[in-house]
Amino acid sequence: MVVPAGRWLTGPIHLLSNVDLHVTADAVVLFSRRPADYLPAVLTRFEGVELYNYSPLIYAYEQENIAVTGSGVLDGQADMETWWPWCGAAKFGWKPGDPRQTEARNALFAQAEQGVPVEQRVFGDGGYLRPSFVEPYRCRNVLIEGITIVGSPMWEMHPVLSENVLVQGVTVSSHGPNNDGCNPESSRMVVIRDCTFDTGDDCIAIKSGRNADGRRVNVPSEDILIEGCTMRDGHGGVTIGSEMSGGARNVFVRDCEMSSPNLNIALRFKTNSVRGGFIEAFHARDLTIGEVGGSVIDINFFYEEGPGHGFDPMVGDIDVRNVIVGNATRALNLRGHADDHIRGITLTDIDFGATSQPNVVEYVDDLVLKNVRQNGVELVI
Amino acid sequence: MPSQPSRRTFLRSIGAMGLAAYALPSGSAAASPLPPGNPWARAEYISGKVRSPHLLDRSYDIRQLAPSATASPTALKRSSGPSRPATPQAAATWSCQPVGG
Repeated sequence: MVVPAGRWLTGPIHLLSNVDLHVTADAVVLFSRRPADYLPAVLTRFEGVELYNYSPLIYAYEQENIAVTGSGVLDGQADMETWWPWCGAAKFGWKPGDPRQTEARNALFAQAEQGVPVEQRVFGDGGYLRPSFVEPYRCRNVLIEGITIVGSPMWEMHPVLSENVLVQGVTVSSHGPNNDGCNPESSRMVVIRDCTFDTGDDCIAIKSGRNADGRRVNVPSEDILIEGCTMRDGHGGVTIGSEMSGGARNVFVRDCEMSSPNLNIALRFKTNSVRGGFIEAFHARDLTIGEVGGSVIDINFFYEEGPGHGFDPMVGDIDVRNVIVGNATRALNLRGHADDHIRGITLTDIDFGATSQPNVVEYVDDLVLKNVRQNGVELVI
Repeated sequence: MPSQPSRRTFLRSIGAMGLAAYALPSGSAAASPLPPGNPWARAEYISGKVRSPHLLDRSYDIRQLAPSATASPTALKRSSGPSRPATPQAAATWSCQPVGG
């Protein structure tokens, strides 16, 4: 399906099997700014929890051999007046008295904890829960290639429970709330290659469901390769979590370049003892990191709810090598917990460049440093 | 009680990782094409397996969705649920003409 040059207004687009939505150069697909146009509700996920909600802007359910390609632009038209204020933050246009997601989000999370059937978790109008932009759900053989994504309401590319997903040559530039660039969630065999991310949240964040709902579905994200990508602004360059209750394993990152004063963390693992789940077999190599506003590597068991809630995450077997950093606030921020240690971190041939703050290493077992330098001297912990 | 693998199980799995885990091309117990001891072999496996889907060499201009050459409106019929995804149809909801700007 070819979108020729020009500016085109549409509502949600649902892809069927064997369809390639091809957005040619000089074509801009503008998505409606009326939330009601994204009804009736479809099965989707909001922050890792299954529900019926507004349709993602481009959605596919149980389809195969689908694609979104071309060198044109997909513009969700989200801004400080549409979609973004629903996050409830003044910096994104919300004002006291305006609708916001807080009540519905809390209700959804409570329903999930109580085991309310997904069919009864129906939101949409009145819920103010923003949809993802591109979401293949239970799909196989997915290609997203070449396009530029701007103005996203929420997460940008969000394959859920999908397999054989290739994201290649995509440019993401969207600085709204929760504007993650790519979120493979409970998906396997995913390649993210030669993409550029300039985002309002994590550039890439690997997910696998949240809390009780993530444990109910219990499908990890696994066998994910990220290569040749460029990360600019973002909370994290490559992130796992926080919605990782189904676990994540076999994640490979190589030949990426990350740099921005507005990139908080290069490699980010965020979790807590409500999420639970596991992260294992994470491998990164050949990274060039210019400037990072916070830590280069951050593993944080204190994200949001923190420890003491009964589902300690298990994080280990992390290997990072051949990394050059220009400057960062801190090289390492590794915060396990007394009852839940981080296990098995190996860092090899890394120059953390110039850092201004001391490292934080708490409750980390088997931290191995081989030829690691910081501020021009060998790093010893 | 939390229903997760125990730490003992987890640590055992990590310990075995270098010997066996990468031997599996997927989460299944399928026979391994990968050499043990080199985790990056798995990355090469992923890179080789994940390819563009095969798509038919046919194309349709979105303007062909319009009910006639002169009619401007066409539509994307919206689904009533996940089992009924949208299909293009000739009904007037979404403009298939370029918009200003």
